[in-house]
Amino acid sequence: MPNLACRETRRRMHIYLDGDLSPIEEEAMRSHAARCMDCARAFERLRQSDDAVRRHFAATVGNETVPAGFWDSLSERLPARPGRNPWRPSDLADRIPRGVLAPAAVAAALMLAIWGLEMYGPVYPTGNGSSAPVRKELAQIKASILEMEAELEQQWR
Amino acid sequence: MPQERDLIQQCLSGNRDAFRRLIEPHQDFVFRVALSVLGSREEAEEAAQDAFVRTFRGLGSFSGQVPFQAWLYRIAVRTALNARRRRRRRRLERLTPPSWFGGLASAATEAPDAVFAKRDARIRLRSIIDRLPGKLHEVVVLTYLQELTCSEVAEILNVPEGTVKSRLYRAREKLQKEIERQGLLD
Repeated sequence: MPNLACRETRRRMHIYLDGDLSPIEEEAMRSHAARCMDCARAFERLRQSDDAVRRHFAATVGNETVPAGFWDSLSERLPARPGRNPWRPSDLADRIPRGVLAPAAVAAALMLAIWGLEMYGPVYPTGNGSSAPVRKELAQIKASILEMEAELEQQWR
Repeated sequence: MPQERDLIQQCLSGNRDAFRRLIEPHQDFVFRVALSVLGSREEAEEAAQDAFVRTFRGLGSFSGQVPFQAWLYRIAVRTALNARRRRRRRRLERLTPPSWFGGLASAATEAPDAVFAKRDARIRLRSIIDRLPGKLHEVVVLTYLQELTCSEVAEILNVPEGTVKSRLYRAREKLQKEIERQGLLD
């Protein structure tokens, strides 16, 4: 069973292969391996198998290039345009025809304001103590905005 | 890269030539990734094309938070591994050897036994790498094929660097064990 120093050395071997071992740690690893035959052998075996895999990749695919005519056949498979991200604001704006976005935003803001007034706004009492005329006016404005929105929707389609 | 951003913008307007210029510096690497995972040139070409089609389709979702190259390589390696998975599912493992099978430069000067031994070792090593689980396989391909550092691989795969290191550790252990078991070391 490897002791603590051996376990630490085996861990360092991998960091060495990652290329991240500091010179001081490398010196400690090598100095331990010089005294411990098991670790020296383990390091040699690990390095050899790592080399074998590296050579394998270099020999089998290292210099391969795309076949002739690659772009031509790829080009046939590409759609006319890339897909858009439906959640990105700039892409969303692109999907809505020009001249519709600004009026639509104004209409939405007005609707929100009216809804807010209806729900939480002040009540203007009339002579008979009712706020009915104010609400009637708001209802008329709301109806005309809904009409405007319907027109915009038709334009969009 | 500003030029890359310009090309992406042009691609989004449907400019295919811009897409060609965008992928040109990376197309060989994408093909090599596919070839190293799939082993046959025909399948690798198809997988590389699939990866580029997915890249083109997804350009609208590319946020630019990672370099384009990292994003493309992630698509490439995942597309190749998915193709391998599909092939396994269909049980259509090719009976013919991969295209690089006969490509030994020294074949003419070496004794037939030595040539055969080399080819055999190459096929067995490929099969050992091929049997790695997907997450270990993708780390091995990126690390050994392109000599990328752990932090570069981490950026490509969008995982912490420590995750790449631990996957690489596990992959090396598995590879070494199997390579030794099959007596493939010189």
